[in-house]
Amino acid sequence: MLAALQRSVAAIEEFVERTSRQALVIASLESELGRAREQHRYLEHELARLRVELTNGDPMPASERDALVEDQNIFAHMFVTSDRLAHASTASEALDIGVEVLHNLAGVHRYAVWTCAAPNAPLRMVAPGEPRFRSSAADRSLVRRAIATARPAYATSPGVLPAVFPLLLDGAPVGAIELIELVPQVGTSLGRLQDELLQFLSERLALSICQADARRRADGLGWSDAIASFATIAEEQP
Amino acid sequence: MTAHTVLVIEDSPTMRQLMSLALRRLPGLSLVAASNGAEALERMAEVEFDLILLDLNMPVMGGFTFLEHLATHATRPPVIVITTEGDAADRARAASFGVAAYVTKPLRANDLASAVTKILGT
Repeated sequence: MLAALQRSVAAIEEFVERTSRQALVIASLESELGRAREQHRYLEHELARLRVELTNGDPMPASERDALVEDQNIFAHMFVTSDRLAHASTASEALDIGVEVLHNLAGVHRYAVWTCAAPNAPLRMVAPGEPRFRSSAADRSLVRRAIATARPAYATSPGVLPAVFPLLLDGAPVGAIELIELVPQVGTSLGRLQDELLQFLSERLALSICQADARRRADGLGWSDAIASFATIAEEQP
Repeated sequence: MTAHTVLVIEDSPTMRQLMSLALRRLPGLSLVAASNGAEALERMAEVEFDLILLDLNMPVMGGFTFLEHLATHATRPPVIVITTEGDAADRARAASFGVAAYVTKPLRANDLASAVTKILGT
C-alpha cells in the first residue's frame, strides 16, 4: 500500500515537472507570436502612412520604399510560419509545416531534414517524404559541421548552396536542414527571405515539434487544469 | 472597392494563410478556399467567383486538369496561377488556357496584391 502511494507521488511529481517545462515552452512561443502580431500591425500602419504620402506627392526614395515592401513581405512569411507552427497539434504536423515552409515559402527544391539524439549520434532523415525532393548527397560532413558548431555551414561561401542550417533546441543542436537546390527562379544563393525563414526554422522547428508533442500528451488536460494556478481577483457570485 | 469573391485553390494551408494575409488590405475581398481542383469545381457550382488563384501541383485534381474543366464552364472568371513551377513549358501551357497572370513562388505579397487589384480593376 505504502509502496503504491510512493509510486503515485513520484508519478505526480514527474507529471508536474513535465507540465511546468511544457508551460515554459508554450509561454515562450505565445510571447513570440504576440511580438510578431505587434510588429505586423506596425508594418501595416507604416505601409498605410506611406501610401498616403505617395498620394500626397511626397514619395520616399524608391530604394527605401522597395526595402520596406520587402520587409513587409518577409514579415508576412515569418508571421505565417510562426502562427502555423504555434498551432501544430502533433510532432508530425509540426514537421509537415516545416516542410511546407521550405517548399512553398522559401522555394527550396531539394533538401533533407536530419535529426539526431546527440551531436555525435547517427543521423536520421525524417523529410522529405517524396524522393524527387530528397538530397542525394552522400557526404554528410557539412551536416556534421553545422551540428558540431550549432551554426549554418556552407560548402563554398556564405549564402551559397549547398548549405546546412542546424536544428536547435534551446540552443543545442538536435538535427539539421540540408539545402541542396532552390527552385530555378530563386537561383543558387539564399536571398533575404530564404535566409530569414531558415534562421527562424533553425531556431523554432525543433522547439515547435517538442511543443506539439507535449500538447498531444497533455491532451487529457483541459482549460480548468490550465487556469487552476491563477489567483482569483474577482468572482461572480452564482 | 466593389465586393469581390475570390476562389483560392491551393493544397498548402500555409500558402493559403500567406495569400489571405497578402490580400487582407484590399477592401471588399472575400476569399473562399479549396484544397484541389475537384473541390474548387464543387465551390463553383455554389458560388459565382470574380477571380481564381490557382496552384498547379495539387493532389486529387491538379491545376491544369482544373483549367481543362474550367474551359467548358459557362462562366470563366480570370485565373492567376501561383506555382513553384517556373519553367517556360508550364508558362506556355498555362497561357494556352488564357490565364490572366502567372506568379511564381516564393510569393511576394505585394506582387499578388498588385496583380489582384489590376485584374479586378479596383
